[in-house]
Amino acid sequence: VDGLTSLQLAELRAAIAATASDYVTEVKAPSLSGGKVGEPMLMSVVITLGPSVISAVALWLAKQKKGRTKKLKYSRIDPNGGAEWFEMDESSYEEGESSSAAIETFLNLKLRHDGTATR
Amino acid sequence: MTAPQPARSFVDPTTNRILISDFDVSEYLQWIQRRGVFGSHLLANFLHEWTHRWCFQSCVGSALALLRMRAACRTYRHESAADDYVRCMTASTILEPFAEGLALFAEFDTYPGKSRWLSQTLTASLSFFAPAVETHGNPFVLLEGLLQTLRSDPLLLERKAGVYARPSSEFDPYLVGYLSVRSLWCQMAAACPALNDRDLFLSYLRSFLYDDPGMVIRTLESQPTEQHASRSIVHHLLSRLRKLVSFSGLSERVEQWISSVEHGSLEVSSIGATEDDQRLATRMLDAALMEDFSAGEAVTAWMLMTLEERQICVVGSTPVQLKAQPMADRRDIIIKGVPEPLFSIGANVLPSASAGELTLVASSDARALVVFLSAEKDVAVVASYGGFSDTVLEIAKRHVANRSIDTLMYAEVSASLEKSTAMVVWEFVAERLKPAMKELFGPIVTLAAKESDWRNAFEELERKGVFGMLGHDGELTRALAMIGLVNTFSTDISIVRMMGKVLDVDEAALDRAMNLSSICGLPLVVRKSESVIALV
Repeated sequence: VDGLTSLQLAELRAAIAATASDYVTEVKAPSLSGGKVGEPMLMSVVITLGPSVISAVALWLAKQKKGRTKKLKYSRIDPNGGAEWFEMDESSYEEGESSSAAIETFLNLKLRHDGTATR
Repeated sequence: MTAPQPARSFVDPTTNRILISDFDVSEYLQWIQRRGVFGSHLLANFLHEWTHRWCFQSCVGSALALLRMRAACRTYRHESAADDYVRCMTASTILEPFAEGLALFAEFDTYPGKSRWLSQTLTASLSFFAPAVETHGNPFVLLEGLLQTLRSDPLLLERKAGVYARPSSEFDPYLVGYLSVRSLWCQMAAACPALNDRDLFLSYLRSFLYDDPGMVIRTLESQPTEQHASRSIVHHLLSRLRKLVSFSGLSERVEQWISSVEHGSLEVSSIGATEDDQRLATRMLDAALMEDFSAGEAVTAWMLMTLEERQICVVGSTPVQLKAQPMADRRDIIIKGVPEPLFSIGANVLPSASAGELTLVASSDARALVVFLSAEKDVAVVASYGGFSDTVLEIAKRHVANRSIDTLMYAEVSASLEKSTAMVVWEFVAERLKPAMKELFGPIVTLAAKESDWRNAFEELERKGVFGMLGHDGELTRALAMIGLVNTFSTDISIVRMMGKVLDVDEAALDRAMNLSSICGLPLVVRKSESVIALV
């Protein structure tokens, strides 16, 4: 998941940890090179997927208040190293921003989750 | 394949090059011709990056740019550059929390105040983003509108709350810097009522740190080793910060500062420096500029030219096609994706070109914009908004003409620096700098805490951030951040509550935030009858 503030990352981490063990496997915080200074960085997080983790992510997304996040970007990396990405915001699913079930359905569809762990 | 990341907005302190992410030149050029009324999604990043640029457009910024550029050119010529590089990096590192703190303060806090002064950041925002609306002689109304819209934006709230939760495992210049600047503002405004004007405070603090001739002297003066130079730079900032928080004669100094800068010439005694130091700093800077110069030596000549062009701010550029008008001896400038031509030129301007580039350049004082058309090495002015001096216009034309070659050259000399032994020496010195950072910033961040509490409070902040100190409660963190954003235009509790609804802040969390007092001895919020003020 790309484009998280530190607070969103902390909350996502807590949401996943509450459901299962910590499936957040890597956090990337890209730095500016060559002495440059700039806006606060947004972070990327790598999550190992499983059904309970997708539920936790959906629940976390459902709690987000409207307008606080630009489109988050999600990359799906399969065990063979193949990858694809998609964007998601409040208009990506049908039931309105507070339905974690609708978000979970959308995520399952996009991530084509088949029950095996995927990073 | 991973998701393509948008470029992160930044300023390169060496060239003062600015990049505003999401800035669309063609969209902006369409807007500026009519200046319609709508808030700009660019404003938060613009306030942040322009404040960086403004800081680096100073005697301290010039000295550090010179040292870094000279170090790069020396390694490019296979000469030693460790001394220059360590001096530059020491000063840049210890000033970085202030650079970020000032930039975040511009984003989250600055607002036109009661004084007659307007910062360069707000001047730039007014020049570049204000709509064309009759204000009956009060242009600040436009700024207030822009800033109130920005501070009611849930994205800005999330960005500010994110700063409160920065990773605290290492010294974080955003968190420590922002809290330092907020802490200084609270204390300095209490000692000098004029500094309740946040924009004046931003300007004065920027001047105190970046117009300081003493820092120029410490970065350039002769020292036995680079470690000695590094220590001298740190000690200088430490003594400057002590002077800053002594508050003695602050009101008089601030008034003197406004009067002098209004007349275009800073009296350095208003920032606690001496005229002797100012003269010495100017002499040292001039001498350092010419130190490596020998006639006919191309790299140094390029370096001097690049440093001179730091004042030029390229805001963005876009490729264009040139198309002859059927009924007139002119050609239209066509931007891809824009249905109507925005500009046209006479047929005799760049006559052999059929395509080129439009480049939008801002003056360093933020009062003017010029649009250049370039093709190969030829450059012509297409439009201008506000006045450029002839001298600056010539420098800007040269900069635009040489931009692509300069970019390649800069990348090449910078790469030689990145691979040099100067990096190894700096890594060694940087390790020794870490304790000094805490010594410099710990007392500043916790100015409002008691003497017995500040060390503990700073350790907690470093380890956990404000978010951790609030029990890792995200909604409480957002509520606290929101009180600060609303405070830029109101401290009234009913307005804070109303804005809480606009920003969809949890009501219970907002109530708790308004009643927060101190944590670990650090006061976070002050509430008096119908007013509430966030202190962080």
